[in-house]
Amino acid sequence: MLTSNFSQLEQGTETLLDDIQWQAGITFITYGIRIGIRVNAPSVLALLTNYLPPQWEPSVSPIVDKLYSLIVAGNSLHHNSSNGYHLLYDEQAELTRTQELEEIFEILDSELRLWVGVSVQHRLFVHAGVVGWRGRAIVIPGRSFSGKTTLVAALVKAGATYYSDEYAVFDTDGLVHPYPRLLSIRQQGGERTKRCPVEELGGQAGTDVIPVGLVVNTWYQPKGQWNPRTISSGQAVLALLDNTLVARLRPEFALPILSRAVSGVLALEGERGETQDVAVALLEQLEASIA
Amino acid sequence: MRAIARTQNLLIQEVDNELMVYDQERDVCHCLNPVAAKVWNYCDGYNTVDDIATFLEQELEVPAETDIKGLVWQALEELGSLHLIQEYRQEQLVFTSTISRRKVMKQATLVGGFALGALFPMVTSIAAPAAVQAASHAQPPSPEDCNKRKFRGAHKNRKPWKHQ
Repeated sequence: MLTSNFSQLEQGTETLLDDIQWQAGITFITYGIRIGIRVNAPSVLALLTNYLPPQWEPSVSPIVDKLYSLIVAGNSLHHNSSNGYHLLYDEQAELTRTQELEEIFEILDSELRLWVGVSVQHRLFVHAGVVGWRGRAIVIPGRSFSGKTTLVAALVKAGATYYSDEYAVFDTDGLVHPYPRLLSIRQQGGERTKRCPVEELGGQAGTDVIPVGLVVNTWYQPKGQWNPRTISSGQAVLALLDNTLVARLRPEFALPILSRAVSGVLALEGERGETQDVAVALLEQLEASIA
Repeated sequence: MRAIARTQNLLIQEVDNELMVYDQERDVCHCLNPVAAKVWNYCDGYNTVDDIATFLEQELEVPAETDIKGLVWQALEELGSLHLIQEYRQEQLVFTSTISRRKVMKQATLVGGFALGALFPMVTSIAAPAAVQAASHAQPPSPEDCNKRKFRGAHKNRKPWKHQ
């Protein structure tokens, strides 16, 4: 039955995933959300845990809020399998099919982060890089490919504490919580993203909940010069809202939190060139504003 | 002429001395600087343009030569274009060619040695992103991705599942 169902799936025929005899799975809780992932190859689970949201905890309950299903083609872990496609499902909907297992993991990672960020009710997720310095957070809002991770890595190397290269997680008081996932450092030359623990950069992950000290709305420009202008608190709110997952879904939740977070805080905006110089300048600017 | 500020389907949040206004009909968020915020707050359907200009003159401590009335017109024009003015009472608002940012600036510069930027009513706006647009991706999302994804929040207590 297992084989015939997989054949039907590979042929694109819709079938009931619940009828498949899954070989392994994991249930975990993150930010109060219960998620299940079931797989047909038990050996995949160990690799999967590297792509789960930070601070996840295993759960013994079989009841979940969201269920993903991963079908490894031919029960094989070999990349570029010529026997068929690996399939990833979100509930009953096919998310992707690919012959590269690493790609499945990255897509699952992206889906988990998005879904958790949207579903959690008591935290506000803003797409941003975050580091800590002297008990204050430097928040760098920005979409994918905006260079956040590069700047965060430079700040960590300059001595800042790592909070996240993905999300600024705000509570209802506007304070920032750690989201210390592995840094996703994009490689040049078309190579896959490298997942890097902050310790490899010589840094450490923050654990304290801290207030915002500096908001930096910046973008990379080749040969750019870091000469930022100060923006108002309201404009800082806009920069953060522009990267808030629930901006449209729950603006009544997002706006007060962001306003509390940036009230009285220094906010800068401008293009940047090489990150090393910018990182040092940002730490100095935050230092000056605290003094 | 009396303007009435719109109140329907707006979320309003103060942040320091500015005002954030989220338009729920258009999913656009505006940041009103202090001058724009004051003008908008005075648009209650009873205050005339002259009244608002008088209030601003008292609150902003500007030299007498400053064209405060021009600033008020400027603000009303911008607020109206952003759908933040519900209606006008009495005569319809008429914008003449003399009411321009350049004219207001020119008059203000005659004052000399004055912080002009803070005087000008200014509204900064963004279109609120959809969840997919604001999220990170292994690759940049396509327009189709941004349009088709909808999120309804966590399911509650779905039936249990087990693996063998």
